[in-house]
Amino acid sequence: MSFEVLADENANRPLKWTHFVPGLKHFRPANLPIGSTAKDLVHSENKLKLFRYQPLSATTNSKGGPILLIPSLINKSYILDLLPGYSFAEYLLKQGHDVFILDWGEPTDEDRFIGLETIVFRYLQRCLQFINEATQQKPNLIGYCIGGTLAWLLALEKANEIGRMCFLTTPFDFHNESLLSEWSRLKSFDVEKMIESTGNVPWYLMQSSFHALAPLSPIRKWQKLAEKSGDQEFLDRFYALETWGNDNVSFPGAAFLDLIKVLYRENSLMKEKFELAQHCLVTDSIDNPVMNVYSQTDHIVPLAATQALKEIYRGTEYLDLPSIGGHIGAIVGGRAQSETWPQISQWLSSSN
Amino acid sequence: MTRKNLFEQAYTVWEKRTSKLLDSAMRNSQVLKVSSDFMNQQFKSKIVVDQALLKTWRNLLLPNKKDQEKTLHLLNELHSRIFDLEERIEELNQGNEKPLGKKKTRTKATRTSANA
Repeated sequence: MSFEVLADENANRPLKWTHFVPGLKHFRPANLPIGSTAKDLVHSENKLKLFRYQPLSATTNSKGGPILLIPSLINKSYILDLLPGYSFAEYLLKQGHDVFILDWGEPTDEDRFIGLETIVFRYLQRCLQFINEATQQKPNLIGYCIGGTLAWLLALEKANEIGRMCFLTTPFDFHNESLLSEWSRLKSFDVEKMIESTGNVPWYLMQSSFHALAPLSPIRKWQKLAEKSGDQEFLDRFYALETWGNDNVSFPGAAFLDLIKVLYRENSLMKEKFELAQHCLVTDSIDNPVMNVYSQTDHIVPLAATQALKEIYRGTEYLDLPSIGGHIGAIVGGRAQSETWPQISQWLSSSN
Repeated sequence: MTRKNLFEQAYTVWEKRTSKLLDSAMRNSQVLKVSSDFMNQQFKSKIVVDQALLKTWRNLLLPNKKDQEKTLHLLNELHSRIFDLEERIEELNQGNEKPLGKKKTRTKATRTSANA
């Protein structure tokens, strides 16, 4: 039945369907200028690299202070610098901001011993310190997904060295209704055994879990591709996102253990006080202005998980910014580009 | 109503129902228990194989994978400690007074036109 209908539709819309195959042929991921905004490597430690983007405009916005983009640990950082004309980092540069971006790199076997404490209080903290010294200003942090959670953890100890904080679809309450939360809290899921066996958590294990969250979504995705196969701009964005979505990295073993135990099972971020390795962290310590960007249709980080920031934030300047789309679309989608990015830039330009 | 609309409506209904069904299956405690047990068993088997290999290499007085991982990790730790010391020395030299707008890089490749 469906093929019959498609054949009929094919007859009605010859232009679109005849573009399908040439559209597919267009898919040359290596040719896409992904993450190509000019930047300099300014610091590296183990696999981590800190880049500073070269300014695009003659005047930089000194009022707002430098910005540090913190991507998620699970994926590559270029989601925040996808394509020329479709890049969050490039947009911020055009607005005159001084932008840094972290690239967590790809963990190798020896990185299985790296826990969240090392990632946050050594690697991330050193980047913060580096930007502080290089610019003589407090950096504003923009964390995407788990990157935001890491930024929050760092702020719990180093709030006075940070300017504003913007969280993009970041989970705070890990006891939520999402499948990821349920799976992680399963008593029968022996996370220690898993880490002992695999070392780092392999990317294909992580990716298959994410695919299992919305197993039917690829059908709609490919349908949309077929319908818009004549739209060059759409194709570029689509392939860039597909490249990013399939370009996953493994998760450092000890950090994954911390993520599951401290964040998912103990839900420590929702507590007044908790410990992460040697660090005693108190929620009251953050008074920095915060902005929370979220989406109501995010199936990876549900609304309640991000909105929990309101409950734990004790400061005076809290701003909610709802966005349209899913976990990724809310940050890099067309609407995000025209509506969310300008608001973030404007908010960051406000003096600290 | 065109055949396309009919098909789309039918597909939407199917998609909603199937998603709901899959979601409840993924949350079902029995399904999850069986999957977890299966995964745990796979992990245990891999641990047994890894340990057998580890013992073999050790008996041959050769470094095994774990030894190499630990050594490389310690090298990374040392690298970090050197950074700590550098920072400490810098602080002591400057008496905590840092020049404004200092250009600072801490890598071998100082300028990289980065194309991922």
